[in-house]
Amino acid sequence: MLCSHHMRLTVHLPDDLARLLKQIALNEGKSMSALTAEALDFYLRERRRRALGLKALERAGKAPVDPKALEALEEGRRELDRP
Amino acid sequence: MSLTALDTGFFVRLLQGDGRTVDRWRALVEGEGEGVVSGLSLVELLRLSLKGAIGREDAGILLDAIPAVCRVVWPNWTVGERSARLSHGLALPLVDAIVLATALEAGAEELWTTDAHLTAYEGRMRVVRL
Repeated sequence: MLCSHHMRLTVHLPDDLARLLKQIALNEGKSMSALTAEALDFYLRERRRRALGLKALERAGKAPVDPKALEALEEGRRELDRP
Repeated sequence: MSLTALDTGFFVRLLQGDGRTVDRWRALVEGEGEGVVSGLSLVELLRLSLKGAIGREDAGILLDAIPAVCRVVWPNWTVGERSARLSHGLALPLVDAIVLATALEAGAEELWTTDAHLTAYEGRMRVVRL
């Protein structure tokens, strides 16, 4: 979700990328500014998603885990069902 | 795009370095398919860390990564009602039933779990026991 407040930002794009941006914006009936914001939002979210996912992956096999962790999980679930 | 539901035990296995789990998580991070997780799994992971069963820092990494990589679904009335019926019909503990109902309501094709009780479910969704 994009914030409704806007900050003016000047960026320099390669000619080919600027042409592509203009063409897609025209085709989709959006302003270049809106399309740029949409693309940047998607890119930054994806980048964050990947970075956090990989950080968890890096801990695989290295993290200390109590051998009884799954038993503790199971026990926690049973606790809620005890009369 | 395939949708895989991940139960809490999946993330314990991930920290333990279980091969299948690591491969599945890596695929989701790379954008191959989509993951769905019950919000209760986040609560259970936090609880496991408070008990010392998993490290607090590792739990924090998972609690950041899971909502970034997967869709997290908190129970609403639709999930609650289905959970009650599944719990009653399959004699499942309530949290198991909520995890199962969340996966079914989301339309998951598979549910990856360490919980033996969930293998009682037989239907269109495949339960993968870790």
